[in-house]
Amino acid sequence: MSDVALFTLLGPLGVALLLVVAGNLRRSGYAALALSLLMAQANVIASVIVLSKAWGAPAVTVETPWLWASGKTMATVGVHIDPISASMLFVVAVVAMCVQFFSVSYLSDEPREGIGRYFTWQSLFLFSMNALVLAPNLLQLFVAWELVGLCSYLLIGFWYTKPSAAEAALKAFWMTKLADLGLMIGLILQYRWTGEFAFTHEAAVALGPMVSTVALFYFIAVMGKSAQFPLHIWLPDAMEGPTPVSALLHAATMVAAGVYLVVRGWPIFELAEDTRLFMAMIGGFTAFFAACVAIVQTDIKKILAYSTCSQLGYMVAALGAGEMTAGYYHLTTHAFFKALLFLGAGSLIHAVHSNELSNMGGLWRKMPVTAVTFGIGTLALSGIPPFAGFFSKDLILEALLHGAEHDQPLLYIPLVLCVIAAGMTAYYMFRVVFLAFFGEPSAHAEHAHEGDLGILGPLVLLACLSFFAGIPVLTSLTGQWGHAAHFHVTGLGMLALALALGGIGLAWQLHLRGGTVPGLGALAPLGDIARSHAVDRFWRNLYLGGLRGIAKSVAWFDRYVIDALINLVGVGALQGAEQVRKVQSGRGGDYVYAVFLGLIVAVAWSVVLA
Amino acid sequence: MTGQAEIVSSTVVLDPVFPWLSFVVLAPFAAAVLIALLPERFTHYLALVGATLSLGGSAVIAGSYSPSVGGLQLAETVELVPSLGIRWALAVDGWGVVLLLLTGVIIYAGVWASWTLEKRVKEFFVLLLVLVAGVFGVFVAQDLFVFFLLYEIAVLPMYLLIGIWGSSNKVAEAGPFAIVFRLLDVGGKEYAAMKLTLMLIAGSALILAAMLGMYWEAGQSFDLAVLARTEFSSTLQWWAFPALWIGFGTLAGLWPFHTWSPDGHAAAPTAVSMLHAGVLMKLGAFGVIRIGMMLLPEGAAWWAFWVGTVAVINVLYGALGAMAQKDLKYIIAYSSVSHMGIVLVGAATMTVNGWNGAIFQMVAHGVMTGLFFALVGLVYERAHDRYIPGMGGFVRPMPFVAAAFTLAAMSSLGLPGTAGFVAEWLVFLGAFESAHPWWTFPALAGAFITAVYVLLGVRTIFYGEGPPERFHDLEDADGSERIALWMLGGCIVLLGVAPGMVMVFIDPTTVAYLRMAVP
Repeated sequence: MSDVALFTLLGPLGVALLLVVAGNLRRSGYAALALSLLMAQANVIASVIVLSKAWGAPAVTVETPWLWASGKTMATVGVHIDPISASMLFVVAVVAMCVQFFSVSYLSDEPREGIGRYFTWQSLFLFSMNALVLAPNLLQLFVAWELVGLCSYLLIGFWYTKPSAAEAALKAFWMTKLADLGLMIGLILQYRWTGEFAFTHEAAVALGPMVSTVALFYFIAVMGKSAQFPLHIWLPDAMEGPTPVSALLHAATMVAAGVYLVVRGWPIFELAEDTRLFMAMIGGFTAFFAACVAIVQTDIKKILAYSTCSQLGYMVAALGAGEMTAGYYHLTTHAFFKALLFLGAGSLIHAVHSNELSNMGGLWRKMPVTAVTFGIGTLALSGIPPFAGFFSKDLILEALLHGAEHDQPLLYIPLVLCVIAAGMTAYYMFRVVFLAFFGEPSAHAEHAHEGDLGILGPLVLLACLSFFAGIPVLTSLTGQWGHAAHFHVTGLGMLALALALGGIGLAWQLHLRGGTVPGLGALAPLGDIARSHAVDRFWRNLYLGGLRGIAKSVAWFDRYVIDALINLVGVGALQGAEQVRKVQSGRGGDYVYAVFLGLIVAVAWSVVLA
Repeated sequence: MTGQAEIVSSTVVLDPVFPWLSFVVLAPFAAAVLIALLPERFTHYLALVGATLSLGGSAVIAGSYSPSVGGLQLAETVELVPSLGIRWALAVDGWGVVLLLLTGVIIYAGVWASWTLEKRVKEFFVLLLVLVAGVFGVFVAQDLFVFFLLYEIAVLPMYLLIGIWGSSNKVAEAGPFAIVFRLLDVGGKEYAAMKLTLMLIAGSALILAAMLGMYWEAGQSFDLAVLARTEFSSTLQWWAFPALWIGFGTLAGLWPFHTWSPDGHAAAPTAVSMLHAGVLMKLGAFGVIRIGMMLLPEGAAWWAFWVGTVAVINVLYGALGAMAQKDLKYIIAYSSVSHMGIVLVGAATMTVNGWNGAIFQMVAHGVMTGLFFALVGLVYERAHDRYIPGMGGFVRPMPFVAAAFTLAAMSSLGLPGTAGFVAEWLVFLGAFESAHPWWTFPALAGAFITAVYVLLGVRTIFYGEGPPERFHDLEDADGSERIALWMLGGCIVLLGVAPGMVMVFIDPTTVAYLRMAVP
């Protein structure tokens, strides 16, 4: 089994390296595409094998020394296979394969060089993500974590001639790198106090009272990667990349790596109660805040991006409430339906050549498959039974309620925020559905038509997964850890469902019927806040005014203070020599005087000495 | 301490079959002599043969060095001036193995990178190879006098190399400083060459003073093993260590004696910047550790706080300075100041991880900055411009250069999978284990600022819509240049993915030497 798991690492890595080194093969485009696709499929098969073997079996770790100090191994690399990593491996594999298939049609207009480059980075991403998922320790996880960040940077900047894409790639890298300092500090602290980078229960216990500090630093990196307030601003901009990239990296897998880190390092987070409360607060607020911002967006990808922030907020809140299973379960279901929604959006964008909702409309007749699959994704995201999202979201709310009732009353805050956000989610998603698929077609939408099988196949497959990843997965998943998280109908669940239905009704009233709702105008100031980009501006000012200002003063100081002193020595030497030179006047009389003067000094000196 | 002494004193027993160390040191020197004597059409090939022999010899040394035995190996001794106790004593330790390999790689790539040079080719390669011979020698010299001699041989040719083959970048300065700027011709290549040489020689004067002090106290011996055994007086340790620290440190870009580096590296021709930032700056850091910290442990302990604190300033100050630059070469030069700070932080930690990281960073920064300067030279040669804000969209005409530049940038900012990460990571771990854990945090901040300026540079130069009209005839790297780029890029990835390859050599030596430095 570990051989198969190793294949999921070395296979994609081999493809990526081959394509990097063999420039002609890459530039041919189609060879790169074929190789990458083939490996993505092999990766799915391998992940199924690993999953079937690992399900219900004890964890297997295969590792080899990587770094050492004083002759002792300090860090290892390898694979760690248990039900968590195996199931995540499977989710990543399926979504990656769907996305790569989708990309073939989506990017068919690109030059061959671009296609080659795209699939090279896709293979590199698959390797990095698998290495992250299978990491046997937190250091390898960090290494892979940075590598997926690199892939994200490269793929966001895929259209490098677009200044906005270059800008977005830069922003994504900077923000996540800033947050990653937290992970680095956490690892340094953990190494200092335990001498290893393990995520086992023993390692967590060994941290003793410092466990909350370490977990807090780890969580800072999670906030960056999983786009939690206030480090979320890079994710909406990341939509500058090709839509399949947004689906794979910035919705389904890479951004979920933050949540996966918490799941992986659960023994540490479980003991870190203070940090978990902070997590719940951040998660709950992000779930609510991002939903608010999503409501006022007009760009379909931006809506989905903020929705991703919001859903990741749910996961983080669940983890903060101490219910690891709920958070992780929502991660897996969300991966399927958010990838589905993004690919559906891609299908729409491909058809109308625009991201703006106003350029769509009435598309359900022309694009029925897209409409139905997008609808399934929307229902799943809105938490309507019997779709997957309903169960996972319900579990999260239950976890928050349970936590609030039993050990931490403050958890009522994220609970309330999450429940409200459930209604808002349904509203903004159905707003998209009504504006894109119903109503009058815009000029752009006149000639829209359904894509080919490469576009529809992945949509249908993901729609099936979004539908079926409900109860069966839940019961099976919870069975793995013995957590008694069985689903049952509760008042809280019904409340969330009612709010979601209300949201749908509101969207129907406002955007399909074109009617109004009394009292809605009172919420207008909230919309202004959501549109104000205040967080964006905060970071921009910090960069422009803070960091760049300091850098400029340092450069000034260097040129005009430190260097001036050194130049002063130089000028002093030159000028001094210029003066001393005059002594050598060349006039005989001067030298006679000098000799005479010297004589007097010599005599005086000898007298004094005597 | 005793281990090293025993191995050196039993030189006769361990005499190698062939004097590989002398071979590696003298091969570039011999090539330089031949180049000077033979007609110019042989110059390139002789230079390449000299560089190849050194690289090959370094590889042979790496192969024959036994890490499990450790200590100094392949020792060879020839008496030079018996009356003064000066001996041509060479021996290699684990650090030396790695640094020899680095030097071999850089000079080999450097010869390829200057293949298209046209002006005074003979003289250029003669000086370049003499310089490299000196560098090779410093890493393996076991006699302090020879060490210093070779150190000066490595440093001095720089004056001519920059003064003759360099490029000027006039700074049109107004305001109160205009007079000074005009008087000294700030920005000119002669100014840069003079500044670099004078500052480094001032450093050498300090080294010489400390060296002589040690020579007299140790009973007139330059033998490093003897010096290591000698218990120097506290007074000497107290003043000689900072003399060595600042003296060698100046070459390593130690703040505030670093300002020769931006001007010097910006004015220097491509291969010279590659060698100077790639290996010469390492001589400085190597000297601080090998001579300063190991021979004067008491002084090192006394001054450790300042060494580390100034190094931390180096890291941050260099990174911030780089961020504000608009000239491509200045960015890379300031980034070298910042990265050499990481080496010095590692050295100051006095921990296994810190020292491992310091040596690893010497190698990582060597290949990374070698690659950077090769690329910058390439861009400058084609664009005839180094002013970044005027550039943009260079990726289309030169995709290979763009890819290699991105790789160097990633190593520079410490991305895992590249050599830079391993080095910085070890130094961070070491810094937190040291007596002053707070060093870790500014060093980390420096790493983040590196990500800011280096990617900003990548964005400005390579991304964006096609290059402006005046850059219409840009060409990608050609055959001989690609050899250099592939080699250096390959080393970055290889060291990042499999750091064990060089850690095998570094770690045992660090453990043994740390026992000498921390009594």
